[in-house]
Formats: sequence, C-alpha cells, structure tokens
Amino acid sequence: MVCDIKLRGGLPFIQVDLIHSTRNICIEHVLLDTGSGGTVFSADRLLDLGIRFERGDPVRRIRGVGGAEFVFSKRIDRIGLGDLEIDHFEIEVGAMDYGFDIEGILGMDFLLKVGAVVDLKALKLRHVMD
Amino acid sequence: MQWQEVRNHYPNRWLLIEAIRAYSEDNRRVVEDLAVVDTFDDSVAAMKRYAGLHRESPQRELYVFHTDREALDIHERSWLGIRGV
Repeated sequence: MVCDIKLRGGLPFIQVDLIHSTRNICIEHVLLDTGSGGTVFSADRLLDLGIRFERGDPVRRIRGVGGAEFVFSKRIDRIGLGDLEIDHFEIEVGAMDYGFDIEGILGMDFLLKVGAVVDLKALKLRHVMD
Repeated sequence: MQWQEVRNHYPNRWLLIEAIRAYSEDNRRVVEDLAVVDTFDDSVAAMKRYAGLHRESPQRELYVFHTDREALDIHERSWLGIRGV
C-alpha cells in the first residue's frame, strides 16, 4: 500500500475510506497520530454512514494534555487506505470539535495492525502486512 | 445525584450529564456525583449539544448516556498527540 501524506500546519494528514452497511464515505482530513492509541472519527461525518450512538455502545474518556473528552466506540464494517482494507475494525466516535479542520485521527491501533511505515521524505504511508 | 436516581427520574431518555465529582482508577472513570444538563429523544441531538458545550467549556466533564444503561461504565485512555497543540 502506498498512501499520500499531506502536510497541513506541519501535521501529517491522510485520506481514509469507511464502509458500513453498504454505504461508504471518504474522509479527507484524517490526522496520522502516533501519539493516539485509538482511531477516532467525527460523529457528524459518520451520520452519513448511518452510524449513531446507540444505548449499549462502549463509552470512553480520552485524556490528553489539553483536556479530556468523551467518545463511544463502534466496530465498522471496513476501513480503507488506498488499496489496504481492514474489516470489522474498532473505531471511536466523538465530537472532534477542535476549532480546525480535522475529521478523524488514525492512531497506533491501526498503524500497528498494518505495520505502517511512515516515510516523511517521500510523504507516503506504506505497510508491510502480508 | 447518583446514576440510579437519575435513571428513575428520566426513564428511557438520552441525557447530557455533567460529572460533579469523579475520579480515575485502573483505567476507569468513576462518577460519584452528577448533574443532568439536558434530556433528548435521540442521541444525535444529544451529541450535538455535547459538542457545543464542550467547545464553550472544555473544562466541564460531560457525557451522553441513555438511561437504559445500568451503570456508567467509562473506560479511560491517554492521548498525547494533538490535544497538546
């Protein structure tokens, strides 16, 4: 897999495709974040996939340097980056209202799973998964 | 209020709640005392209200829950990346 990394404000962003219940959306502004254990997407964007907070969904509190926020978690049918696709991947869903354009965060759970190689010279994300 | 009291007062509702007293233990957040900020028919409206209030007052500890839920089982994890920017 090769996926383009775009720098915005000095931070690395990538594009992610999400598929759920036969619907699919492309999320353009996803931060590549090795400082995040989990992968998070905007609740507003996921409404287009029919994903909403349901009664029994697991709930988490994410603590960071700048504060804390609440998210719920879901297992999404498919997450794709370029030609790499993972089925039934667990994501977190939150308000993601940080005052700038960010719709998702691709965290270490995904990057470890695919054995991601972040090539900052070429600005590409590759993987070494069999 | 305690969660069980809140459940009795607001059966079958989505709530935006604020933790008044809470602590962290073993990667869990334990809410000892809470206040109900608002009630909703659906979770989408509740999440939108959460987003607005969280932006206005990021220091408040807010959650959305449905009162069908027997316990406030909140897991915690750290996030050191963008939150520090």
